[in-house]
Amino acid sequence: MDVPSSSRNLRSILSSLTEARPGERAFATKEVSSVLMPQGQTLALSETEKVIAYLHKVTKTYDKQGRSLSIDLDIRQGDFLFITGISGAGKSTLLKMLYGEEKPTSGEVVVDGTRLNKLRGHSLSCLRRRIGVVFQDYKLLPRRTVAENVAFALQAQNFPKAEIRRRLLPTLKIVGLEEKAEHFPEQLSGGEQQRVAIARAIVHTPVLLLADEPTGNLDAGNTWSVLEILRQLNDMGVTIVVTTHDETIVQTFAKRVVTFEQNQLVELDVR
Amino acid sequence: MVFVQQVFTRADFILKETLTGLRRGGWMNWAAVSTLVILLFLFGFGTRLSWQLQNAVATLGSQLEVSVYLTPEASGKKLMQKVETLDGVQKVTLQTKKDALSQLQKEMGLKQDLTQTLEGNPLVDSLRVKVATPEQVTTVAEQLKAVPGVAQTRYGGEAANRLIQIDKTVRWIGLGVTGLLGFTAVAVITTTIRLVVLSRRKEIEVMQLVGAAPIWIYMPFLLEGLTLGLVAAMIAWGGLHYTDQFLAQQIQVNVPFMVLEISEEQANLLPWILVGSGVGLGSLGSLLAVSKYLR
Repeated sequence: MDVPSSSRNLRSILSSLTEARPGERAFATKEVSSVLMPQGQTLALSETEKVIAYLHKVTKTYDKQGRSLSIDLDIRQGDFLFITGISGAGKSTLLKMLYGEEKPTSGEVVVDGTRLNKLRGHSLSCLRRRIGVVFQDYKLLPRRTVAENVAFALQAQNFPKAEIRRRLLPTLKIVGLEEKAEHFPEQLSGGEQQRVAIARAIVHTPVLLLADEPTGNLDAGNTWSVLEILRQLNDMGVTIVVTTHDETIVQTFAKRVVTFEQNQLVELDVR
Repeated sequence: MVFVQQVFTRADFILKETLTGLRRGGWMNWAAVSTLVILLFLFGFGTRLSWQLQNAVATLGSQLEVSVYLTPEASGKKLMQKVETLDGVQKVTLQTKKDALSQLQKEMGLKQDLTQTLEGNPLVDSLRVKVATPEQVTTVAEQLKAVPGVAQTRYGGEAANRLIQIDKTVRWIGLGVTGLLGFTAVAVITTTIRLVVLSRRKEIEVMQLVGAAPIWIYMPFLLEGLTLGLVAAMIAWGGLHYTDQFLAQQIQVNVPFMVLEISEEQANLLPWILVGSGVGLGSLGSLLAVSKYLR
């Protein structure tokens, strides 16, 4: 199997990234917050999971007949959320609304405190620096090595060179590709290429990781190893949203599942 | 410190991307630059010629004045009153032959009395007739010629008018040609840059996804267009410089009396005009190429 050999060390590697230096972002950990009653009474401390992204009363018209999706969804910190449904059901559209590629017809989309409805230009790119996106077709740059592909995200976000060096190797270790840092994408298998894409999506420690059919092009073994990496990232506190139509992986990995039923997003009971 | 570092990282990246883009443009760059060079060369040549003609007009003197030379027997004083009544005449000043001689004497730096050497005054009385409008100059001159006692009329305006006509023509042709070529140049630059943008579509998509600022994504393309403009301006300026030297030589050999000069300020201004138009057109072309992506 193609499971990264270093995954045992994942925890230690991740925590090296998590040591936030002043002014930097670390992987988020679950927060314990106190809840205030309206009367000002303090309740006993209860562990509440913070909502880091939500779509409220969102509709999205997707064809000329005026048919539209309707979505109401809270994404909480630490979620490992799966969006399922047949192809064309609106899974990708939902994800695209979360990274600002598509705008809702009505309703409100908020990610990490930022309203996405009319976001564009520089403010949109600022929001995208706080999320990571993985695609079915990897979207790697063919003429750049693995290391360059991963560093590209940091360069684009204007990280200083020293910081890029500091982050690069630990991130490649997480996905088990430190040996292949100087390879070009075409020299890698599909699973390895997808792991490069994951590395690129997490190297800047985003608050939210979105994956659109990340295993759609992979065989069973590679599918498993990619999802194993995602699960380990989730264990460390990374909030992950995955779209898939593969029922087996949903049953194995999902903490939460939502699906489209007649253009309406509904939550399924997992356990 | 970190900020300075970031600025350098960014500048480094943008310059690298610009160079990569220029390499990928390949022969299209050549098409863009050569179109721009031809445009800027003609534009510069026209501008300079126009300046030269205007300067020539200025040295030819006021185009509103007609000099009237009388026959040796005629008296300027008597004729003056008659001339003043002519239509279009604004003012008449008299220069008697006596005044003219003493002025000549002064100009030549002679102490002795010229009348003795020359056995009398060989000069004639003359009138300086100021005309109200340039259009009337010719008719006034014709009328003056018919006045008895007038030997000759001369007006600088004759030559000046011709030069002004030439200057006008040069400017109109220049405007037409540069306008047309400017349009072509912008179209070629836009196409060149758009091809580079297309060849880098994937990188642009990834950059957008990982949150690169739009200005950072498109700066290399703007710099690319700007570089094309700058290179073209320098080549055009070199070409102008050499043709100018060549023409000046030819004029000196063949028509030494012709004075076609531009002032030092104008000579210094010309390369900046070229660089400004080159850079402006180059940036405009690349802006048009990326505008639909900038949103």
